[in-house]
Amino acid sequence: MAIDNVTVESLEKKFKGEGFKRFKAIAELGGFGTPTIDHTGGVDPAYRGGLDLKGLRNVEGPDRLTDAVLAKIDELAGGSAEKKAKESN
Amino acid sequence: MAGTATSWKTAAIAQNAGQLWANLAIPGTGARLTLDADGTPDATANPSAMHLGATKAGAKLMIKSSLTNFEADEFRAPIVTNVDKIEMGISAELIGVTDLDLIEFLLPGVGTAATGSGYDQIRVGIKAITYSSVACIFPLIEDTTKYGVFHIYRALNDAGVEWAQSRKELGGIPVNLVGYEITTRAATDTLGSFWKQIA
Repeated sequence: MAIDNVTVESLEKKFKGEGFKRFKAIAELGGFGTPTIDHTGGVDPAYRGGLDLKGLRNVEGPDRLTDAVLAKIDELAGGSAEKKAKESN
Repeated sequence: MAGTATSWKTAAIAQNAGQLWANLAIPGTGARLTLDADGTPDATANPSAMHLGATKAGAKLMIKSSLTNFEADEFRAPIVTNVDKIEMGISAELIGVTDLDLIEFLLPGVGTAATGSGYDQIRVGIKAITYSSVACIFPLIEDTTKYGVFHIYRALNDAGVEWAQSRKELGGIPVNLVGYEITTRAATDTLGSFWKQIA
């Protein structure tokens, strides 16, 4: 099942130790902007509502990302692609 | 020779109550805030969304740029201009004075909420400044099944918190949500967006 929203915390719960790394990669791939580290060492608080992956999948027309990029984002987020890979291993 | 059709835009007017939301998700490339059919933020795409509540007189939505003009001696009018500054903001007077989660949101860098048995509290001091993705969502007049969205990707309230506590007056907190750029986004899409649903 595709993931609709990710935060650093939600990714850290699924992938211990990789939360921020995956969040940053998703943000870069999806054009969300790269969340900056604030002076306390955390993610830019504007991102505490997370990244809207559902809206990204619903984009139509020339702005839509390629299926390959969307699949990569879904995999990083722990969606069906990642689950299938784990199951087959 | 035929004339040109007029377009009075009398349906494209703003005359409906809006809803103010904070802690929304950030949209990606080419995307917009994901809405549910009822005009509220989609809950799975925006799981942290917080409704800011009722206002005394609606909200003022603002996008402004200031231009700097340059002149040449040989000409009397400016010959070129440059965008100096962009501002995007939402201002309103919120009535939910004793909702302390709201108060914490309105006091970035200053207020910390705490709760326990029998109390909700805001402690005032210094902490990390937090920004939030905020939006005003309103039904359109031209099609009341569709919505307009004024979305600032990264904002905070710079007006602090103040209200009148009195018997004769309904206390309200004037808020001013100011936009800050997410500099790592596409250059044309760093501050926010104003969009509407169409058929």
